[in-house]
Amino acid sequence: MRCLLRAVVRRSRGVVSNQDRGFEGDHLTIGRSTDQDLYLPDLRVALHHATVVAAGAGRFVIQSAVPSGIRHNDEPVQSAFLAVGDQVGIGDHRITVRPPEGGHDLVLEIAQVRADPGQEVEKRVASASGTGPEKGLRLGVRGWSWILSMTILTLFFVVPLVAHQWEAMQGFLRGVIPGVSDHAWSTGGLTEGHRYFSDDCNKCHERAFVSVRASACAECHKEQPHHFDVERFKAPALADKQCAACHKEHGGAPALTRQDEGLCLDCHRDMKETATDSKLLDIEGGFAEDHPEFRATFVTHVGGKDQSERIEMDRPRVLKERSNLFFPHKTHLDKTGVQGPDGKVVVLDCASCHVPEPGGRLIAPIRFEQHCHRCHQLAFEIDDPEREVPHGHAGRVLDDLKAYYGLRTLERSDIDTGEPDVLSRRRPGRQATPPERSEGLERAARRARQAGKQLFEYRACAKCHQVDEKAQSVFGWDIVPVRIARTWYPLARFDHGRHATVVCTDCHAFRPADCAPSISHRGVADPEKGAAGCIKRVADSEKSEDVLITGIATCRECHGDPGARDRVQSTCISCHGFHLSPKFAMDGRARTQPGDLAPPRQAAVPSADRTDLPTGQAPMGQ
Amino acid sequence: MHESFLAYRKFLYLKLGLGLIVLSIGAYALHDPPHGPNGGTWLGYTLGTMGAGLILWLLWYGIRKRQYHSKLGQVSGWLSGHVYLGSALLVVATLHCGFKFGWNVHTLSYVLMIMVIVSGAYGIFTYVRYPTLLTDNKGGIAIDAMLSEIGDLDRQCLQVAAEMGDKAHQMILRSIERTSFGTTSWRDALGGVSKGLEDLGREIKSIAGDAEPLAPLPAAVPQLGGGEATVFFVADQLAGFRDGARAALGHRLLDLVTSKKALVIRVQRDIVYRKLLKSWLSLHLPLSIALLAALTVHVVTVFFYW
Repeated sequence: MRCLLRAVVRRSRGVVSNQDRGFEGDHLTIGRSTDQDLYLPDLRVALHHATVVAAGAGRFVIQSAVPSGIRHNDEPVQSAFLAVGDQVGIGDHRITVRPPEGGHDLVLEIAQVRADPGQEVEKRVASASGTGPEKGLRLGVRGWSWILSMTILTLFFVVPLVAHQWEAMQGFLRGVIPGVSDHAWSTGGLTEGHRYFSDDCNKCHERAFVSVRASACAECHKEQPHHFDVERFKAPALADKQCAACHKEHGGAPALTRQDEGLCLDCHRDMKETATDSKLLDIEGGFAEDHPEFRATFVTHVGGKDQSERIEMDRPRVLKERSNLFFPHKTHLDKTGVQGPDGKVVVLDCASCHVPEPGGRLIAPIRFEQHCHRCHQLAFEIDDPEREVPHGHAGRVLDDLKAYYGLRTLERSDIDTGEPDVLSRRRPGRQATPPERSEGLERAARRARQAGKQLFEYRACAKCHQVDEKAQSVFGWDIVPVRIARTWYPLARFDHGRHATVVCTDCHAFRPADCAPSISHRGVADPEKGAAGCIKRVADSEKSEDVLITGIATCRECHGDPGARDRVQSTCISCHGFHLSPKFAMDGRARTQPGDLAPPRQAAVPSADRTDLPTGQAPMGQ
Repeated sequence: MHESFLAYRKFLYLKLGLGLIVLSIGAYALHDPPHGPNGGTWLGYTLGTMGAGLILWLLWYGIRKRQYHSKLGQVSGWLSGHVYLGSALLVVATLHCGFKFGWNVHTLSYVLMIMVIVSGAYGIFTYVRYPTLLTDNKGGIAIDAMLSEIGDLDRQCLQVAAEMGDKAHQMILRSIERTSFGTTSWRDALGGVSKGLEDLGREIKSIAGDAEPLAPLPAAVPQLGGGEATVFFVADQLAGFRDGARAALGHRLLDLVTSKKALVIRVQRDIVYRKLLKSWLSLHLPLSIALLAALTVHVVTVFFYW
């Protein structure tokens, strides 16, 4: 290799001059030792520090001979290829590779650059502590601030905002990268019922910077019943209420509806203020202390019309149901059982007759055919015990009996009544004469009336029903309509299914007319404790006028105010509904299907068979 | 007399901050909104407005700090308020959201805020701790003086080592060349320890053996490891020296290397302390600005989809 070594010599006053020296050989040695091809007189250079050798194809390699290595373009290395422009640092010397010239393969320019190792140290300290020049491209505090804030603004604001104006992009973002769509703005999950459209924020958020309007809710909840009859009552407090005032979304909670007592008490605390002509009681506070005693709802018949009447549970003297039915629970719940017509003794309990409706919320109404008929058969002819009159059709009974006895007279199989049988005295083949026929019919009618009288006045009907005496003179017999309350508390949501762990008699008992009002009914079922105070068990009830349900004190044994530690936390809407009006929807318009209300409100119909009483209307005014 | 920013005006801002916390917690405890506590109740809006105002004010500190002619009170007072009211913000903002979190831009703001507050708290810690350590570490000597001392020691080491022979000279040369200051990153620091131990083992073997050249080092050895290695080397050389003159040289070299090592450790500590004093800010500031962006998005979007 032919090499040109050019030493740069700094003289006084900044004059620089070059000293060129040629070199020819296999390899160029560099070191502090005087036998080196390139002699570097510096203590920081080893005696033999490095060697330059040809690597073929006009390339050269510098190889360090000591562990401290060399600096190739400021990088500490052990060996490196040399290219034009490269700088190799050894001790305080800098060797720069220059372009080949004058027939030399390699031109090296050698200069002494660092005078003082102390300066070197200082420089390194400066770069380590960050006060020196920055190495490479590094983001400073300012850069990071820009990048972070712009990223946040772009991803979570600009992009969703652009998408809000551009439907195709909106759909794409929501579907593929919801994180940078308006989904990132959602404050929480939706309730179950709303999840199926949770993808589309604009289903509810129709306009920017405008809170969700009731009109958006009405897209689906068009027929949502109003709170009351808007034609009868005015309640300005409810006039401009948005659905969102009570129903809050994005809560992540299971309930969409306000649960607090303020929801109702805001208005019901002072009903005179709220609706001047309302007969509803003021409710001062929570269930545990301030809820008034329950009022049982009865069906009454005034002026040819069925109405409902509410009586406080703490007024046992007037708390009597006039159901026009005779039914002593005591007889039926006799511990030794009751004997059926077949002679078998059956011990009855509550569930023998009272079974839950499908769904379990309510108890199914008693049906004669299902619950009474096995014992209370409607037979009327001793030698034909299979034959019975139909139940529930009093007006038809006499006709049916006449037809029955008429036929039997004609068939000459009438039973022996001790009377002369006119038709049987006929000669065979001769037709009955008109006087004979009328005598036979009269006899059958007489017989039918006799059987009817037995049925209605003494045996079957009269056992349970009140027989209508006024109607009797004109049409035969009739039964005074039964008016049993389907549910005692029609405006409360009581779910029998959810109280399945409580025995019936914990809540179902009654207090005789002279019983003090404030005693809890619970514990009545427990034979150890005996009846609490004067409270009587259902099995002691001899009259059907006894109201076999307890009042608020029983509920309060398990239910308390919100925040109660030892009670079921119950607020107004735990039992009461808000959307009660069968006639009007929330927007004030008449509902197209007024009768179509959810089961708890339907239960507001006091009697199972009433159709003339508008659903839920009567209790509102009481 | 010097008064710490923490004790500014008899802890005026600490009292203010505590008052704010007590007020917020009290209101939150008494408040029983229908749908549970959240940012959308009246208290939620109140605390949210307070929190946003606080954040803007806390950010303004960065501007106030740079206004040397401001008439808005002393910077130390501002810093005191910055620290205490910034800590109170933690409570105000948490009660504002009513502990409702989710994968959304609102919780992003909250998380950023927490990170800013935590980095700030670390900043207070460094301001309280490291200035003392820095002063103690220097022991009255300026760092510049230490550095030129190190340079002197290097020179002397090389002279003595050159007299001892080429191998000793190479060893010292390497020690000087590889004297590195500062920390790169945690991983490098951790990696350096094991690498240093490895190198040490290899060196000892190499010296114990024969003329086999020292293995080149793959990367810079942290000063502590490298320094140890050099000390070990010199000590080893000493054991082999018989004649008095060389032994004296060895002793001298050992002294030089040891005192250099002590100095380097002090410089190193100085760098680390100063870096720690500064480093939290490079987290605190960008996160603060990011928080400002997220807060803006939070406030606007809440009302956009009201």
